Amino acid sequence: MSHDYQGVQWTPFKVRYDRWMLLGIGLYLSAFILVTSLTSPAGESFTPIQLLIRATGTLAFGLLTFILMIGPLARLTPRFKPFLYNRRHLGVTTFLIALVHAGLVLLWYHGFSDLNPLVSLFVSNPRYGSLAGFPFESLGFVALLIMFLMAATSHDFWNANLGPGLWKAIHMGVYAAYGLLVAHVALGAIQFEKDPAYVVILSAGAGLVAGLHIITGFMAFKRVRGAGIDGWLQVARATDIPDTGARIVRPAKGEAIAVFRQGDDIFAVSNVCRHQGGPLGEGKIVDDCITCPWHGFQYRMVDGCSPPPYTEKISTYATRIVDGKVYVDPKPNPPGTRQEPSKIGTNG
Amino acid sequence: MKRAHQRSHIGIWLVLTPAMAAIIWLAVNLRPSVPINPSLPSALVDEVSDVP
Repeated sequence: MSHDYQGVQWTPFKVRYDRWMLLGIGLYLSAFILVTSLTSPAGESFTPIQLLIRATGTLAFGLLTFILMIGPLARLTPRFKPFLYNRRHLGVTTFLIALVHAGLVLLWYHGFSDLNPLVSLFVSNPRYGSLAGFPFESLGFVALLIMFLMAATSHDFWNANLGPGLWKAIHMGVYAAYGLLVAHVALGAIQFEKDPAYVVILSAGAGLVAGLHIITGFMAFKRVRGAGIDGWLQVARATDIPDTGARIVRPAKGEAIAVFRQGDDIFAVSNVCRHQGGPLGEGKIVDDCITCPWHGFQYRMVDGCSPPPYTEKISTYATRIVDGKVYVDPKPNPPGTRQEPSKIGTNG
Repeated sequence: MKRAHQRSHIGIWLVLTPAMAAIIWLAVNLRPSVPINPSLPSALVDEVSDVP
């Protein structure tokens, strides 16, 4: 994590991921245009630009819906963690597709106006006071501005310079953008598409996104354990902690704690990644380092320090095992403090 | 995520969810049989209005 700009650090996995993503996008656009062209009633055909407007619009909305489901789904099943790891690429791609959609709309419906197309977009339909006939395009434009802000600051350069807190707050704007896009579709496409499938797809997509976020959000708060003994928090039976994985505990005050097991060794660190606040306890141990599920930032288990050349540090916690159960001291050590592990079979 | 972010995250969705449900419900139930939205392309209005 550096304050200097560095190019995207490609890995074979990221290259493969992006190739599949581009292939999927190409297939969707081709299939949409082909199927729409073939199923249009005789004498009512769309121009290529109108087809592209619809194809890119539906694709951008579908992709954003999927992107917003990745986070909570990755909490429910590890199968979605690879998507989480590269969610940023998908997000920037979605913005670019939405930008193409908006550009074509401006060109096709406002480009021949006497007014500036952007001005025309906001003033050609003045029914802002009425839900019926509301100028839905303006909602999409505001959502696009939010997505632009996010895409433009998606690089770690901005995360490092703005700070994880402000960066995260800016990027939570995606929820507002999604709400605006739901309204954009409801007051736009839903008003002239007679097929109920459009309403079902929109409702199901928005419902799934909202439901998953609310359910997993409350699940995270439920990860609280009893007081344990001597003020130490009980975590779980040592053998119930997955090897190279973790259990998350949440003390009454302070941030959550991730308790990892590697073989017979038990370690505890802060659950909050220094990069973007990712949940370290949902990651796993790779190359003897705790690896954040969001973007792969790593910390040594024994002292919570990132391996060189990185300099990030997180808090460590003391652990002990009594009668086969793991306990963690809720008082954090200063970030980067060496803390020897508890060993299964020798501590109790 | 930090505790504060988790709280605001849930708060946002508790507000956004009923707002999205309401806008979809209103959009579906209040839509006219013939689109009156001037933002819509005239070709689409003609199509759903069964104008030859």
